[in-house]
Amino acid sequence: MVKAGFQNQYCANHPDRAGSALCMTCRKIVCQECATQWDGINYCVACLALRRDASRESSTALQWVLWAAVVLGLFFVASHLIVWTGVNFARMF
Amino acid sequence: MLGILLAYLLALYGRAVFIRACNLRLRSVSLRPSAIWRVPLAQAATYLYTSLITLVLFYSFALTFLAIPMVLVLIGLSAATYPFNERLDLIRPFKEIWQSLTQLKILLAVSFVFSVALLLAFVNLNAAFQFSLGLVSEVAGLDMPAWERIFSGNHFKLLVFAGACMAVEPFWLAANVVYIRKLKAKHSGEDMRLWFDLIHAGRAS
Repeated sequence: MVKAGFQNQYCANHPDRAGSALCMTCRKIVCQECATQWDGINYCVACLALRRDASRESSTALQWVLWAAVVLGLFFVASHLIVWTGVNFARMF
Repeated sequence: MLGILLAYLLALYGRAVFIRACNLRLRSVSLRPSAIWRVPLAQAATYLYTSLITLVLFYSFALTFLAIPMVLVLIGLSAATYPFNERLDLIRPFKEIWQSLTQLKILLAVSFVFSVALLLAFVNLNAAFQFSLGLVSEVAGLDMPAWERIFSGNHFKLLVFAGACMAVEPFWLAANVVYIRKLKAKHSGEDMRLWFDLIHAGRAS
């Protein structure tokens, strides 16, 4: 289906090969060997590697500590704001 | 304070599971029911962070009334985009929300529609309670001044409003999930895949 549109175009990685798929991330035309389908969507080798690395990277301990500090601070501010807004609304009505 | 925190966490977890279920259904992924309840930790943590920021924004602007629709859009988007944050990050979730604001007109229209729905739900719930009270006192002939006082108080109106919010919220969240899904499908080419699937299905039948 998609292949029909790439008859006169060539793979971005292998200029001697005919293009057979369009990478849906970088929009490069790639050959059958360079294209991989993931969840039904075509990706080139580089974009697939980027996606795989992104899903493999885990959060560091420092990120979790930072997150906990920010969330605690936000919760403190939010709970006080809720009470303050509630008191002001009660005065209005 | 601890009570508020626990209630908030429970409500947030409920929302997260609901959005996860909506997303999985839209992707036609079938999981065991127990797997739907297991929200990935990094996604849940990111959602807690973004929801707290939007909560602070909401209560900061609540008294102005004018900024509420915009903050509601942000609340909806922070909920609908949380499954796309696979890593804990303090900046990336907002990039995701910012990228989702491309069709602001649709988002504001959704907010408007659900504001009207909320108003209608509130009026209907209130009318149902008043009607029930009238029915009990007129038909059964019971004099219920204490109940009438309760049903006409401000606290009761706030309770009915909370009930109306609970009735409308799942539909509002689902609308936001569908919006994000369609936007992502356009960017990733999944809409083309679905279109081809439809053509195939049409030819096969």
